[in-house]
Amino acid sequence: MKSKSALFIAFLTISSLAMGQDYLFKVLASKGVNEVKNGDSWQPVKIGANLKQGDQLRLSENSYVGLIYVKGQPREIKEAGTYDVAKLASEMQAGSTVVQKYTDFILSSNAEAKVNRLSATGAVHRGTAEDISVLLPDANTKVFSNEVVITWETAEGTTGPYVVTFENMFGDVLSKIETPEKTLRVNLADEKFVDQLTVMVSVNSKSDPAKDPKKHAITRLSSAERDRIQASLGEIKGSLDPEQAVSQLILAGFYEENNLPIDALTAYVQAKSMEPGAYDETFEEFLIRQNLKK
Amino acid sequence: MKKLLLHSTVATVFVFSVLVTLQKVSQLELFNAFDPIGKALDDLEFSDISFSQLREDPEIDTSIVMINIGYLSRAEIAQQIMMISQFEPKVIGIDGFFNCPGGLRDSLNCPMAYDTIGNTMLNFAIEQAGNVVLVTKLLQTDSLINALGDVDIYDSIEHTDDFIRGNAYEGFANLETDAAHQEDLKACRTFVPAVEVNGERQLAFSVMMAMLYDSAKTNRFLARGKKSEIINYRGNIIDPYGASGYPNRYYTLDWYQALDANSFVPGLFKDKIVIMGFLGQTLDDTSWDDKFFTPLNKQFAGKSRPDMYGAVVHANIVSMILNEDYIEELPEWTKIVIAIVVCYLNVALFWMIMQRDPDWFDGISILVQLLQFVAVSFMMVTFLSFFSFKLELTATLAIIAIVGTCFEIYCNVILTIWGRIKAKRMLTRKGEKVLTPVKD
Repeated sequence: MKSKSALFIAFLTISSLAMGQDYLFKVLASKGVNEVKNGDSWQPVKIGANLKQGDQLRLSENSYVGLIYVKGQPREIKEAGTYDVAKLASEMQAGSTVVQKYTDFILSSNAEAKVNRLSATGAVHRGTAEDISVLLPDANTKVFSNEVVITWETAEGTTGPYVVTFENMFGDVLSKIETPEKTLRVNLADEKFVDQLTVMVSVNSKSDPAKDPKKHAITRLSSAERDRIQASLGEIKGSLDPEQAVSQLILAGFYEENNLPIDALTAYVQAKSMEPGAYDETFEEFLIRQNLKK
Repeated sequence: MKKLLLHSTVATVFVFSVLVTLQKVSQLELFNAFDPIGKALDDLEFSDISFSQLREDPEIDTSIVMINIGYLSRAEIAQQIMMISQFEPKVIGIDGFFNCPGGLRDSLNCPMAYDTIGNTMLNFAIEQAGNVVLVTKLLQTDSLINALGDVDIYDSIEHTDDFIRGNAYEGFANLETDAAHQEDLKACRTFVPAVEVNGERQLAFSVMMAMLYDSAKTNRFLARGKKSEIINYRGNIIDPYGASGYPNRYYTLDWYQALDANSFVPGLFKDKIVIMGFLGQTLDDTSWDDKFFTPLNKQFAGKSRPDMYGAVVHANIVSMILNEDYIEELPEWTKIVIAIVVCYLNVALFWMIMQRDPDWFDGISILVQLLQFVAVSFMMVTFLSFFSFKLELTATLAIIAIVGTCFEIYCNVILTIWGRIKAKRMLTRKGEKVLTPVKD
């Protein structure tokens, strides 16, 4: 009987709040793939949006949503799952008084020592910490050529086919390409990309589309820089045969010297495909030099 | 009664002498190598505990929106500004310098100076927005340092390059810390609102943003005329690793969200203060770049990690000014007076206990000290919570901690030695009297 009364009072409180204000929470911050169900459809969570009674909130793995309750208290949600907004509101409590906090503070200092003392490692995550590691640099994202090769390595257990997504700076999808290989050749002169100064690239396994892959930028050179590189390249290009692997290797060296690792990588991959196995070691050294691999 | 007053006064002087001696010895740093506790607690202030754990939950300030600029290029930051300014924020503060560090302008040391498109875009975005505040840095020239040494006078200012700055307002981003340089550990509890540089008043970055947002409130704040103000911290941005008390207190957008109009509601920026600054490569980055220790740090003493990015410290100052929610503090002389009064009353009480029932002295004195310690610390907490008053009674707490032991030393050693000296003199006088030949 008591619990029914409590539920009824909670319901009345929430209802009165909902009538007074047309929302229960506002979104302060959102990280990862988070969605809100308003009516029948799931929509991405927008920062500053209102969450109302009857709405549902869905968080994916490694996501975070920061909310502010209608009465001003904050609420953080870090666990993946689906949450009923009205239930979240019913869980909101008035903040503790200073006296209560002082008592808790004094008592908490007597807490027992943590038993699991192996939560942290003396190591860092590199390379295959992500399921799919795209071999593109985080800095130095400038590219000279229109032809770009995107290649990636996968963790054990990650299988193809892969979906390569190209977006503009505002997250609009320009193109999605499915491939069973771990390499993809793309032409930036293509009409989908031709107007874009920067193209964002991400690779996902088709079998695991929920994962939020890391995005890598590919940025075109400014016309002045492009002219400068073109002029320098003109001096050596006459003596190179693009059908020879050695010529591609020389080109790779030229691009690397000019701080264009994406172009260099494209030339290396080209050389490797012309003479399989011959330049694997050189390629690995290049990847390590460019911090693309540890 | 006369004896009580006399001994209370002398014992109070003795307790203070011991305290001052202990302080002087610690200043000599003779025993620093063997003083891990002192080192660990060196930077602790009792009010930090109140700030981080023991006060009423501060209200969330929805008039400020934080935006991460991460490692974006100048062109990309320009895109962020253009994206935001179309939603009509009242002020946009950018907590970043756009110049060549050290003044080296060659293409190797400062390639960004040659990024003509990026620089032009940034300048255009700043000019078009029309309400941008950029940061400056107060500097001391070598000639000033050579002439005056370590002083808090500044005669030079580092600006963003002219060809980018355009019509932007400026405010200095220097914050008060004990750090020797930018990469040093930085603990920030206070800030300087305004400084005179070569006869011209310069406002702090946060104060300039507040001034553009609400000049009436900001002028009232400046009229307080304090050289240094305690920052009444309200909270942090999202804090995935739980370093800070009161996280999730400001609207926060990561760098890519500020470039995507679908990530936020259109009204989010309308008439608000937008502060763009480095909040990590992404919001879940663990970078220590431009990160400060603040009183909100959950680990208030000993080994810890910084908890708040500099841009968020500026946001907290803006919140404090716009909410007119300042923290007052005791003048230095009152701290000493309170410590003297407390010491005197303790000593008088202990003297009375010692005279009436010495067997009870040890037990009662420890109990009295313990109760006072809890009471004073509770007062410090509650004053900050209820009256926004920083009741800094560290000297009083130190006195309470040592007064019992010092009083025992006073009674058992000082008074005994004094008694013996006195007794010897008396014997000597008696001897003279005894040995004086009686004249017949």
